[in-house]
This record gives sequence, C-alpha cells and structure tokens, in this order.
Amino acid sequence: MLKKKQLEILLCRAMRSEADFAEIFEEETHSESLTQLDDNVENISRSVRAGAGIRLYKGTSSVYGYTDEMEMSVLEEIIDDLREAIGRKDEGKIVELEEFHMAENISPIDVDPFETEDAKKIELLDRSIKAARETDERIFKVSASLSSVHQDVQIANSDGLFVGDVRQRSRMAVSAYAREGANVQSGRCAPGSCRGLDQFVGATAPEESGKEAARVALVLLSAKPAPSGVMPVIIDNGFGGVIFHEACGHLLEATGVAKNQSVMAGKKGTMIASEKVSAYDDGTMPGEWGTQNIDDEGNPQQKRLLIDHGVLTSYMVDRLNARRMGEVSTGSGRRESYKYEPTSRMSNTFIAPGTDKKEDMFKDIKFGLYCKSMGGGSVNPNTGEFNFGVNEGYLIEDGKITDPVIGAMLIGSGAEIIKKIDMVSDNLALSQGMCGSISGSIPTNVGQPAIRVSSITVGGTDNE
Amino acid sequence: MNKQAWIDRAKELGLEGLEITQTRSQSRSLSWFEQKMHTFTTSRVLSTSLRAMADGKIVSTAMEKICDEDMDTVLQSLKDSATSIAATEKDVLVGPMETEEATSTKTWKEADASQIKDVLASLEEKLAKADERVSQVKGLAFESAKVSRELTNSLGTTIADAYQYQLIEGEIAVKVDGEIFDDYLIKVVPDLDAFDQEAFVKELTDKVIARIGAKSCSSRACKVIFRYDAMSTLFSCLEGMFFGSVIARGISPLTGKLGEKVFSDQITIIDDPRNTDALFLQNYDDEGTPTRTKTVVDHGVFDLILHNTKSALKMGAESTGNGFRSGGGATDVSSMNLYIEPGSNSFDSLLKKMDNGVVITNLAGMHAGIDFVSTNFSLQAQGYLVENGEYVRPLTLITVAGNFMDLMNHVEAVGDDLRWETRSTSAPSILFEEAAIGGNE
Repeated sequence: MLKKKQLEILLCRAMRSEADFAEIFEEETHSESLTQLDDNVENISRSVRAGAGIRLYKGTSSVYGYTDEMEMSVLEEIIDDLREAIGRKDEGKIVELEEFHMAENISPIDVDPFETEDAKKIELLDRSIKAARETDERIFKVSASLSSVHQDVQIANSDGLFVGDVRQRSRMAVSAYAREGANVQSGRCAPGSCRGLDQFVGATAPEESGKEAARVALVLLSAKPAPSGVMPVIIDNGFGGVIFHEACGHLLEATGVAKNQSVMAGKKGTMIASEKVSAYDDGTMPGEWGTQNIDDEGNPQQKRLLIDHGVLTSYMVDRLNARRMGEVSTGSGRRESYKYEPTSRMSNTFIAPGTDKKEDMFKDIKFGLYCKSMGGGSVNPNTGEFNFGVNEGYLIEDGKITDPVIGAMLIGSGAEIIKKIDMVSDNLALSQGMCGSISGSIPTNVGQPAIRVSSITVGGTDNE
Repeated sequence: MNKQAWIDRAKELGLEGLEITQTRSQSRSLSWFEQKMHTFTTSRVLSTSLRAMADGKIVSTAMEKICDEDMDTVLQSLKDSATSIAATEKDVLVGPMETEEATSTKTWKEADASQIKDVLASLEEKLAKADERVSQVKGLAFESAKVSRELTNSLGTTIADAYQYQLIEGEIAVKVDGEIFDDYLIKVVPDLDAFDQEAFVKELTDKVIARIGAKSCSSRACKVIFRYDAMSTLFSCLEGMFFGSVIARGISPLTGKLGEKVFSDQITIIDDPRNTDALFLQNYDDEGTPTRTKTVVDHGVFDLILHNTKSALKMGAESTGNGFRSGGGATDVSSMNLYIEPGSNSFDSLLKKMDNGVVITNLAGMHAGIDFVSTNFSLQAQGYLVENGEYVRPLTLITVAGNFMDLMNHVEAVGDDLRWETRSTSAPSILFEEAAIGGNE
C-alpha cells in the first residue's frame, strides 16, 4: 500500500488542475475458489488483484484512471492524463492527510479461510455433496464450490481523509442435478456472509445446503409448465426480495435519479408504494453479505429508510451524484474493484416485516402463483420495466397450494408493482446475491417477508 | 518478471511444467452528457497468469502484483494445491505448434481527445434535434482499448499477439404522453474520420421511435421470429452445450449425442476464431493451441465438441483450440466467434412467411430465465406484433417462453442477416413454428 507521504504527493499533483476534489482508492484483494464435482476436486484457483483508482472531480464532471502498476512514475503519468482531461493548472490545493486509521470492523471473522488448509475446506464440500446425493437416487450429479474473498482497501482524498478497511466474505454454492428418464432438472443453494468458515453451521451447514439443492431439483422433476397471464402472486421470504431489489431498489439509486433517468426521480416525500410497504437499505448489519464498515469512498455505512409506509423517504446516494442532486452522500458509493469508479449501490436491501400472516394470504385466491424461491432479475431504471425468474413455483387453486410449475417469469413496471403489494407478512429473511451495475458486480443481500402482489404478469409456456 | 527464472525454479521445485501469460491492457473512454464531458477513464493493467503442472494436473493462479522475490511461495502454493485436486483432472501444457496466422482486415486509426469531444458534441446535438419526441440524450461514449498478450511455457512455446478496438455508444429516450421509450446503439469505429454521424443518428432514432406506443399483448402460442439481435442473445446463453467441459460433466443437453441429429436440418453452426468480420480474431487460444475454423453442427447433425486440452484428455479427443480465460488464471472451454450460418431469406421474406405472429427484438432476464440443463427458458421481451406479414404495433412487457432444443427442431426459415458488430457469438433472424408469448392484455 502507498504511504501517507506518497499519497500526499500524488493528491497535490492531482489538485494542480481544475479539479476541486481528488481521491485515491487502493486495494489488495485475495480470492480463492475450490470446486468439486461428485467425488472429485476439479479445481482450486487463487488470484490476487492489486491496484489503485484515482478520481478527480470538477463540479459534476469526473475523470478516473486506474492501474495495477504501483510505481510512483506510472501513477504520476495517470494523474497527468487526468489533469489534461479536466484542465491542467500549475498551482492547486496543498493536501495534508489526517493520520491513518482503520475503520472499525463490525464483521470480524473467527475461522479465516485463507489460514485454513485446503483439506478442511474440501471436507465442507464433501459433506454437502454427500448429503445431496443421499436425498434420493434420482440425484445423479452434485457440484459444490467454496469461494472466499479478503480485500484490504485504503482510501485517501483531498479533503484529508485517510482510512483503511478490511472486507472478508465466504460463500458456499451447491448445485444438484436430478434425472427421471429424459427429464433433467437442477437446484441450487448458495448461502454466504461476511463471516469466516464458522458460518457454515446450523441452517447453513453444508448438509443443509446439499439437501436444499437436491429438494429443489426433485420438485422441478414433477413440475408442469407454468401458466401465462395476469394473476395474484405470493412471493415468499428471503430471495423473494429480488422483486424489491429489481422493481424498486435500482430505481432509488442516485445513478439514475441524479440524471433524471429513473421513474422515481423527483418523487421524494410522495406515496410510491402501498402503505403496507416500508423498506430499508442497511449496510450496517454485522456479518451480513452486503455489509461494509465504510463505503468505497470512505464514508461510514448507514441504515437507510427508503420507504416509510409507502412514502419515499430516501434515495441511495454516492458522493458525485450527491453533488448533482444537491444532497449529501448516504454512504452508498460502492464498486467491484479499483477498476470501477464507484456509484450509488445497494447493500442489504429488504422490505420490513408487516403484520399479515402468511397463511391468510392464500385464502381468497382462486387461481394464482406461489413463488417459494426466486431466480435473479433485471430492470431498466428509465422505464422501470423489470423481470425476474421463478425458481420454485406452485399453483394456487381455490386458496390452496397445488402443483409445482416450471419456467415462470414475472414481469412488470416497478412503479406499478410496488403499489400492488396488498399483504406483507412477518417472516423476514435475507438472502445473498451478486448485483451487477455500472460499477461492477458486488455482493448484496435481498430480503423480505412473504408478500402478496394483487396482480402481476406471469410468463410461462402453458397457454391453455 | 524474469520468466526464465520462474520456469527454471519451477523445475527445481519438482513442478512438471510452467506456463506464464502476461496480458497488458490499456483503455480510454470518454463520455458526454448535457453539452460537456461527463466522465473520462484511462487505465493501464498488467496481469499475470501462471499455470503450473504437477502430478499430471494443472493448477493456476492470476496475479496483478507479482515480483520475483515471491517466486518460491507462489510456486510452492501451486504445487501444494495440485495434491488436493482429483487424479481424474489430468491436463497438459501445449508445446510449440506451427500455424499459418490470419490477419485482421481492420486497421485502426487512433483518435485524439479533442476530435472525440467534437464528434460526441455534434452527435448529441444531432440526436436531440433528430425528432421532437427525443426527451433526453442519455449518454454518448467513445471507448478504445489495446490489449497485448505474451505466453511462454516450459515446453518452449512462445506466443505474442495483440488486438485493439474503438467503439461509439449512444443511448436516447423519447417521451410520448408521459411514457418513456429508450434504446441504445453501439458501433465499431476503426477510424473516427470515416464515422458516419448521420447514419448513426438515423439508426438510433429510428430504433427508438419504432418503440413508441409499445404495449403488452394477450398471451398466446404463435409463430415467432427471433430477430438477429435477440437470436444472438439467446444462442450465446446456451452455447455452453457444445463445450467439452460441460458435456463431460453430463449436464449438457448434448451429452452422448455426438454424430446425432439434434437440430432442424436448416441449422449449421460454425466456430471461427479467425473470422475477419468479427471484432476479435485469435490465431491461438490461451493455452497456446492454434485455432481453426470448424463446423460444430452440420445441417442439424452434432459434428464436433469444442475442447481445450483438459476436456479433450477427458473425452479422448484433441483440443480444438478453444481453451480461453474469462478472468482468473484458469482456462476453460469457450467458443470464439461461434455463429449459426445465415440462410437465404431476407427479413421481409421471413415476415411474409410468418404471416401472423410475433417478432422478438430484445430479451432481458437471461441470468434468471434460462435453465441451462433442460434448456427451458422464459424471458422478458420486446418486439412487434405481426399481422398479414407486416408490423402492426410494438410490444413491450411480454414474455417469450419455450424450450431451446425443441425450438431448434422446429425451424421454418433462417434469415440472411447475420451481423457481428461487437458480438463474439452471433446468429441471423430465425422463424420458428411456435413459442409461448405471455402478456397482460
């Protein structure tokens, strides 16, 4: 990592320009992944990413340069390129950095995967694969992977900020494949968090993940084609929260809002959702998958109340977009690595528990869809049009859960759908995902209690 | 990095071989928004990938921070990892191989910042004025990159090559009666002097204006044309079925089907890393095997499995020169310029043949809506409703669902409109007998 004196020299050089702000984000990230298929460890891969991203602002324009060549001469060349782009000057602010400090680590880990021998990690994979295979003889193949990341970052800026942080996370993913005749289906379970290997106990023990992946694959073997059309839908907790993530979360990111490229721009203080809906983006939950001690601009993470009983109360805002919007950063500046300029992103985003009971949600539905678990989705923030895939779905007929269905996709317009949430239950759970946007792929939690949407378009293959 | 020292030391430590690949990339991009430079990004990255052989297996690592002092630690760690990997995972390094190299037909002329700014400013002005319904020029960007690669291994293979590209991207929104419709366009620009601004403005504006008034439709099963863009997207998501690594795992729908008729006889599929129309041309894969043009599916018959060295060893075949990296140190099987061979039907004649049905132009939700094993898919789509062989109205917020294997066995006609642009997997427009459309009307 660069020393204080070096950073001051670089920041002073950067400020000898039209820039009114300069920042250097440096990281060294170690990643490892072990994958196993049935009894065979197929691959062990390790990598090191190490470099720096340098950013200069002039008003609401920004210039960004990054490199993994950490010699001062290369960094100075990059800075000179940026000064050229933003407007070079001979004089500028003299930057003096505060004393370096580490951000308080709210997610310390017990068993560090990088200090654990491979055999112990392979044992975890073995246990999950064995449990999945023992579920049923129709499970013919199981793969599992264990991925861990250790990121050290250091952020310094022309306001004098000089802070370091450590981010660690591990995730285990199990995929089970089931076969009956020519019908092959798969199921997946992939728990993870900002904790060490000690997290894989209890509900997230390797055996539980293996069994869950196998259970889903087996259910899908007997599933029939999903219906198409408009119908009421109940989306269960955990990864079901991807509906809020896609249909609303992305629309509340300053990335789109600041440039008037989100359907939620200009709606603060207004009713945008059903009054049953309150929602948070909370980066401060210890150990959670989307948690950070500080964001990637060095600001403390926050718990943000996005929607309060249907009323839009806050956007998620990064430093540059705060300037565009005349607001302050909400500590939401995130990036995959030094190769990306940060922008506003989600952390742990969820719909707060309501007072309805899950069992009451089904009663008055004559024909609908129950989504026990969801796949991923995507959204166009400009129009709010979103989609997400149903991983494990069942028909609801005359108030009861009946046959499993396969191949359902839910689509709609975000602004409309969140108004149609007419019941919110009390069984909040979070689930892990990787979220992609202009600043790369980052870990985020989605979450919700079971919710009911009064009507949504379901796309399936059955048109009868 | 003293590569020879690493190779020598690897041998002393008892490794059976070492391959070092260094990739140096430099990129620049400039974006434009509301009459001024919005962002400017410049980068220089040197990444090093090591693939070490021990015990007949290959272990890899990717490092952005590498110095000769770390040699022993890094090599020993690779050797240790190899012992944990199953004995079934055999692999080999590739020795020097002769090949006649193809050369790209594209010549690149680098543009300077002031010229780029002038072009983007002028494009912004033209797009804003192109049609009164244009509500926002959402963004314009010019992006350029140069990448060079050097591969050296202990068997004496040395490969050095490079590629570059320059692109212009534009995105606009139109607003009609409070509703917003948007779309984007990307063009490869070898020479900014020869860039046709008017054509870019017209193509992008036409694209978005054609979307005005898009609505959903009623659910139906009907004839469907996947236009070249949507067809390329769908095809690229399922191309893994041809990969030896996937077939060997038993999770490809084509496992055990080599030599069998798997698609309609109108379907021929070719993998051509040396295709000069595509953006990237590769004479060698990332394992040092020379690439070649090959027919994967011939008139519906599955003729060839794509292999890298490892999948080839597993399946008793030869590498087809398809071992590529997608980030990280390890190589895996990947296609390079894979395409469905175009037919002789113009897009208009496909519309006439379909008579009544739906044209799909955009797909979304690929990472959630496609089950790779069963090839069932259900995706968010946009397109057009077609009656009597003509566009009636644009569609949005519909889903299109089906089974890819099934679809490819019910092909009515293949279009002649294969386009590469920035794609590395491509397909022409194809008319299928039936797919399920979901909508809310």
